[in-house]
Parts: sequence; structure tokens; C-alpha cells
Amino acid sequence: MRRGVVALALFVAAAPAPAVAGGPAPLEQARQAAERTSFEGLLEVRWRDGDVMRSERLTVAAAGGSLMVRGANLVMARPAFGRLLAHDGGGWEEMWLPSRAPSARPEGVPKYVTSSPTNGHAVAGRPTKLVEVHRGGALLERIFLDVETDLLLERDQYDARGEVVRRLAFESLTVDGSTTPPAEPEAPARHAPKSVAPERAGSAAPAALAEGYERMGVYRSGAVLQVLYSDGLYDLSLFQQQGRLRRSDLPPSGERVTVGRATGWRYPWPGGQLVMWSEGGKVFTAVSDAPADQVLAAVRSLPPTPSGELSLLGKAKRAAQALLEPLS
Amino acid sequence: MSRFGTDGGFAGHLGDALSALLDGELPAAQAEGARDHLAVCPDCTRELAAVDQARTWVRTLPPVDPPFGFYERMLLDRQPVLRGALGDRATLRRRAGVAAFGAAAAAVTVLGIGSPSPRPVSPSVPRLVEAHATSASVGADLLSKLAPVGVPVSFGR
Repeated sequence: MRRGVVALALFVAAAPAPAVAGGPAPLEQARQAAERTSFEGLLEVRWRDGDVMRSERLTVAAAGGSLMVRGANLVMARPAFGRLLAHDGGGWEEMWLPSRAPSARPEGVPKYVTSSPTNGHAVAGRPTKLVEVHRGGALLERIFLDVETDLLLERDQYDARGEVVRRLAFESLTVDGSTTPPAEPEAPARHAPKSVAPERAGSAAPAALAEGYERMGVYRSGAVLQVLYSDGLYDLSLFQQQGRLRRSDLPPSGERVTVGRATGWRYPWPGGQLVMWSEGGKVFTAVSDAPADQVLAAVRSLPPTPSGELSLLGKAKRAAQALLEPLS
Repeated sequence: MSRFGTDGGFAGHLGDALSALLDGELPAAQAEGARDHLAVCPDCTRELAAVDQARTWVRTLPPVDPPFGFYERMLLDRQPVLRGALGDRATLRRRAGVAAFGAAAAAVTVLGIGSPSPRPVSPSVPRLVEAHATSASVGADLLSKLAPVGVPVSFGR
């Protein structure tokens, strides 16, 4: 992330305005702050779902480099354990291992312009510095960092009309060195994916997608292949599995979209957007925290999936080959 | 020659290895490599389904009992039985041709026209969202990437 946004800063240096953010990029500052600061707080997550704004409150605690999010799901980040998750009071599942570290986020994508920090409004009663991220003159994000610690206190994402589509904001926050790290999970279920060499995935894992998304890693969990991309600010996972989608199996709230020759459906989730479609005997699900237009542009740049369907003659030829092969 | 390399990876399509995979006869590394390939190869996935289907059909065929006294006649008087049953060389060739045609037709039916279309799947969206968020959180601001996963994905269903 840091290199990506530093590269943005270098780009901004050549542009007339706005001014370049000094030092490490704001989200990298926030990342480092979350790792070294002990705190506890109440965080509100808001996201637009069609015409409705939904919201949930979560408690967040961090200490000793570990972070715990408590909502209906529990999420834990631990330096030694990677990422863990527990549903509805169930046992811990290991979702990610430190050894699966993806490639570094891309750099040199002159896509976003990050403003110099200015005074922001108070969040959870704490003074903030505000950094804005623009693209093509349009406001994409407002990021409010704690003046004292650099923790991310609020992050707002805007749509093309300038309306908030997602917001993370602390309602209360206590920075307290006495906060204890979360207890070590006992015997978590092993559900972390396995790394796959990109050359093994072949055309299923293009090295880059439109909008500057570059491949960071390829993973497999059961029959599902995941290709993780990033543009330096946002990330996008492309999941693929064999089969076809039935409209009747999908939630009815999706917005119909086209992806190549296929019809897909777009859904918002609390952290961004997802798009599902099927083509050529595969089902694709793209999950991202990027704005919807970027997600669609990226997935539309995928090479067409060969249908793999054979003509009747082709089927007969294959059957005859199958019959004769053992005799040859 | 094995299609598999030393790391379990392989060149081309799985072919005969599909049957071994179904039987659990592949070594762990090769089975892993085969599953990696299946995750990205529609051709092999279809072939796997066809092979599995054909095996299921064969296994469900009813057993056929030979005519009364068949084994006894075969063991006691093998030559006459065979000669009488198969006939002369010309008849044998005709019957072999008919048998080959029948086998080819059956193969076309089983492997070709009867190939199953991709099965419907319903991706586990919450699981995919969690997998994305946890993998994308590495080297990123944890709050931005992980906090949304504290909220279960439901889409109002």
C-alpha cells in the first residue's frame, strides 16, 4: 500500500494541485498506527444497499499488534496466526496464514490524487487530520486520521454524485496502553487457502485487469480458485468455480449488469461491491472494496472464457478417440 | 509416461488420471495437482463428470446370470462350445464389427451426447467475502479491510 500511494504522491508532485501529502501515505500511517497502538472503541459501519443506508455497530480492540472486531462475526488479526474468524459464537477458523503473504501492492499507478492533510472534524471527540483522495477531479474518499496516534478514525467513500456510499467511523474510542491482547485462539479449524503458482492457473489468472489492477496472488480453497488483485488503494478478489449460476439461487436484490457476453448481478456488501456471473462452464464472483464502476470495468476486461462446448461432431470424435485409444 | 512432474504439477489434460483420482489412487501431491487443474479446466471437469457418470451407470447394471449349464459345458467341452458359438472366420469378423459399432455407439452416448452440462452451483457469498477481506487485509489498514467482515453478508434474504 505504502509504495503504491507514495507513487501516487510522486505523480501528484508533477501535477499543479492539490499539494502532495508529506511522509508516508495516510492509509499506511493508519496501518502502522493500528499495529502499535492499544485502543478500544465502538465503530459504526454504514453502507448503501440500493436506496437504503444500512448500519451496524462493532466493537474494536487492539493491543500488542493484534486486533479484534466484535460484531455478529468475530474477526481477529494476529501477527503469528494470520487472520481468524468466528461466526455467531462458533469456534475460530483460521482464514489466512502469514506464510500466504501476497505480492506487494502495485506501484506507479497514476490513478489517484491524495491531498495534503488539513484539519478535519472531530471524530469520537478526538481531533483529526483530513486527507482526500480524488480521481479525475472527483472526490472518492475522505480519510480522517487521529492527530495524536494516526489511527484511522473515519473513512468515507463517495459515489459519482458526491454521496456517501460507505462509511467507517468511530463513535467512541479509548486509547489505553492497558488494553490486553485478545486471548490466543485454541485449535482453530484450518480453513486457510493454499497458494497456487500463477502459471498453473494459466488464463484463469490474468496478470492484470483494467483500471490498473495487478495480480498479487493466486489461491485455492477446495474447488474455488481465488485471484487477488490490487490497484494500490483498493483490492479485488476474483473467485472461480466450475458450474453455472441459476438466477433462482441468487438473492433477488441484485442489479443486473453485463460482463462480456454474460449477464451478471451486482450486490453491495458492508465493505464494498460484489459481482456474480457465469460463463463458459464457470461461475465467477468478484469481491472488492473499490467503487462499483471500477469493479465492473476490471471484470469486463477479463479475457473471454472459452465455452468448452463441443459440437455434435466434436463429441462423436472425442467418443471415438476414447474408444480407440486403449486399442492403439 | 506420467503426466505429472515431481511437484504434482502436470502438462496437458488429466486424461487417464481422472479415473485414478476418482478411485483415490493418485499420490497426495498428484491428487493435489489434479485438483488444482480441475479448478481451472472446464474440459477436464466435464470429462471427470462424464467418467464418474459412466462408472455409476456400469455399477448399477443388473448382474446377468449365464444360461443353465454354461460353465459346465465350457469347462468340459471348451473347443466345441467356442466353435459352435462363434462360427467361422467370416462370421467372427462380422460379429466383431457389429460389436465395435455397438461399443462406439454406446461410447458416443455415454461420453458425447450424454455429457452433462455444468452443474448449477450457488457460491457461498459470505465465505467468499470473508476470504477476500482476510486476504486483502495483509499489509493494509486492518480496520478498513477487516471491520466490514464483522457484519454478516445477507442481501436481505
